[in-house]
Amino acid sequence: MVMKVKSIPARPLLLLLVFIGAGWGLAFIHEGKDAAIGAALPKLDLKKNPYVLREAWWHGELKDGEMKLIKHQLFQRNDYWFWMGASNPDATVSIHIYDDEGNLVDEESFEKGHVAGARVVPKASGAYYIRIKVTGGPVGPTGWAVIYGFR
Amino acid sequence: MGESAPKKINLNQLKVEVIQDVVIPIPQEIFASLDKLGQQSWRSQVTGTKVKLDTNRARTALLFGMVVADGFIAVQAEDRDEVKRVGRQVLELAGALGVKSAVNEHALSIIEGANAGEWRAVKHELDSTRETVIQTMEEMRDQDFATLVSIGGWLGGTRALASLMDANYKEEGAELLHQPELLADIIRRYREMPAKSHPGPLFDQVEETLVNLKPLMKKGANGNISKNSVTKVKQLTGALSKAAYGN
Repeated sequence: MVMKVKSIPARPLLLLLVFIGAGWGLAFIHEGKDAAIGAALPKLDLKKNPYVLREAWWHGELKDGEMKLIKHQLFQRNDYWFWMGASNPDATVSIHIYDDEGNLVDEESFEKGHVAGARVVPKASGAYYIRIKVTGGPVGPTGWAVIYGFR
Repeated sequence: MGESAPKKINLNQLKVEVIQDVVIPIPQEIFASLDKLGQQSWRSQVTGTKVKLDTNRARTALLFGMVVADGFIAVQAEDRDEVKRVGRQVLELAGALGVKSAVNEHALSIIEGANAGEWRAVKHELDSTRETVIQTMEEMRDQDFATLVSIGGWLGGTRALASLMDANYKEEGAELLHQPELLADIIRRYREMPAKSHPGPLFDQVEETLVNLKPLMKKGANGNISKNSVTKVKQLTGALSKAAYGN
């Protein structure tokens, strides 16, 4: 599905829909990304100071119980949300953020079946590690996607 | 509820895959943090430098990233004319890279957004433009050019940050230059590219600049990035930018 950007929307929700459409149009439909975006929507459509969703994202495949790390540069004073979605709706997943010394730095997090999210407000700029895991199953290998927003 | 997350993990002993797909932050992420320290003189960073194209597509890719970074700076300055100029420049560069059709609507939206003063929408379109070009190039098996677009954008944002902090040094602002792991990943990606994909002396300067930035973009023993380091980062990235633009 490719949604074309025809004009600049005036309302945040409209902007958001255009944004999501543009993101989908970039490469291919990914059910995990679709799920992650669904989880992100409330934070992207905040009336005051909504999070800005990055177009770049990560994706891959995880087996039951498997964990992976994503290393990513974060900046002090920003407020980030990372959202994970699994392609298999029967999977349960988790996502948490660690600093470069391995300390858990989530401000808050949630896990709702095949979507999860974690928020971090970095105390220092530098590399952080996003720990993603399929915590429940068995569902077999499942596709996953991680997106993030900042403000 | 899932299992609770461990409070501490041993990053050196964990036998798990660390995903090598590096997402390079866009300038807007750095600028968002900088703005929280107070008003910045963004207008001083608007260069209005025009691109002189040649047949070196690798240079065009690097410039594409730099021009998009210029767009983020112009949005920070709320400079409508400069944002529109960037929009037109993006189209020209996309044409030279053979990805104009993919970028066309985004570039037009950048120009329309500037006219309407819809800065949030323009920022989004700049990120979309950048990502669309990267994705399109990857689909065209031009992965190396996609990498150069990312590196160009990072260099453009770093130049602006260092320049602002050089003019008005603040420890908490200069701290944003602390990016040693990211820089190491950028250098690794750059060196993974075959030399023939980025010919010419400009790219010798790119590698030299990246290597010379390494000791500067790391906090010192006092936990700060020094004013001296900031000045050197500004000089290195400024000189590279000048060489890339051909001015």
